[in-house]
Amino acid sequence: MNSDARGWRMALVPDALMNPPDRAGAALPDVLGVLEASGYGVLHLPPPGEHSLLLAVIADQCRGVCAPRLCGGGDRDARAAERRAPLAPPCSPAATQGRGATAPPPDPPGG
Amino acid sequence: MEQSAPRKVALVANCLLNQNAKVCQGAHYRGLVSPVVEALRSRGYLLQQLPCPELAFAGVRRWWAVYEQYDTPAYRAHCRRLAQAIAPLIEQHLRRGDEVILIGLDGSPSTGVRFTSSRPDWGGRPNRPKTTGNSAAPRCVDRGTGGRAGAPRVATAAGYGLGTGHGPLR
Repeated sequence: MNSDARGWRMALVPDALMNPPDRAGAALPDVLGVLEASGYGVLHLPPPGEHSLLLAVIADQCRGVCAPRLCGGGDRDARAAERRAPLAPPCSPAATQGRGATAPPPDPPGG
Repeated sequence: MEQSAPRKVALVANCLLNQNAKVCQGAHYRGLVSPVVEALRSRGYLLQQLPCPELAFAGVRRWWAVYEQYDTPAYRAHCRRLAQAIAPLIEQHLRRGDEVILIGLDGSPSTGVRFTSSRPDWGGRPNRPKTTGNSAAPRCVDRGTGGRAGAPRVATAAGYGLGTGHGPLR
């Protein structure tokens, strides 16, 4: 039985970077290689078009790893945002407690 | 818009690109399963990630479950919603004549192609399925996914080796 190897990081990656056109491939960085080296999993965003259902599904898959802070214009908005995002940030000790996993190192400055 | 030549497209199980979709102790990589990605890209396949039914339904903190635990009306409705979300993209590929293959994950209760973990009376923390002994552990059962005319070819990435499904990747 292996321990928990998950990186607890997900990256939303546009289709243009997942499947770059041949002409652009050489000019673009190897995004998947960079993400792999950094321990990120990928959630593949659909190509341009009407994909609202798929985007909703992708948002569902972020829950529990991504805990976005919703910033509003006042205290009431801030409290409401807190209720909507009750999970600890994914890299915090609280988030990894009890999983047998240690928090990954923080992103490098500017990264 | 100019119609380009047919392409090769691999529909890939979510967790092969995102190991955070796995349950605790189920991941072998931190993020991407790079051997699968490299194998597909080197063969000229475009990648199309499929949604993870279990991740979208029960989140990253879920515990292991077998097929029968997920086989509920609510989960079936959830899977229909996911299918409706991804089907238009797949339809686009098929209509333009792209070659489409499916890389699933044997053993998964939702995305196993040939096998899925199964035990009708299981209700606790599952043990890893075994091929011999341990009669209390969930077992892998044939999902009966024989090839259907017009359906994408299927393969599996069990053990993260490729080409063990219904035909070798080209």
